[in-house]
Amino acid sequence: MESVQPGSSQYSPQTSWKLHGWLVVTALLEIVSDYVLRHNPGWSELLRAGCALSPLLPCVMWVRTWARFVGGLDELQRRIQIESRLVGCIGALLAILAINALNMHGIALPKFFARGLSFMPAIILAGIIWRIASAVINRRYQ
Amino acid sequence: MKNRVRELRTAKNWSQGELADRLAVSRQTINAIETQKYDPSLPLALKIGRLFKKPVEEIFETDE
Repeated sequence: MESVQPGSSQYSPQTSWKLHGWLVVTALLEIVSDYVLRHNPGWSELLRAGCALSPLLPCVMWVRTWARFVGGLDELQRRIQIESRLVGCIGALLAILAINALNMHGIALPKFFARGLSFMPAIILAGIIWRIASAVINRRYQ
Repeated sequence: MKNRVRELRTAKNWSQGELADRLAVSRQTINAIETQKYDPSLPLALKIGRLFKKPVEEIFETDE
């Protein structure tokens, strides 16, 4: 069995697509919901909340797919992936908290961060931190 | 944790890849175990013991 390490040659585009397909759906749904909410300010609060939170569902599906993928890895690679994802999630969480804290206190931030971090930027940030952590942790076990 | 995996493997003339295939893990896992950077799970340790026909405590020992 070869280690199926993200970023390696064994990590085929097909595997990548299966794993990250739901992320694409999340991104599309976020764009659509953002557009719809901006053009329908008269909708009820409940409808607006449902629309705003709709990207959560494919996000949950993505987590489920990822958990299944990790379950199929060999034990060392599973440990590396769980550790590195945890680092990625904590990093993204800290960034979200920092941006929220700055927003709450009215400290001027670039326009992109003015409304906090939405789904995709937060996931992309977590992904970047994960890739770095994954490379560092993998090196530790070489 | 100290272990004799490398010694037992070389005695059988197996490469890390061969041992990895027999245990259904990656070569990286075998290398990490042999260099004592990673302690295997109990099921894997038992599998190693069974493969080399030795009790686990003869292969693995704690650093004391």
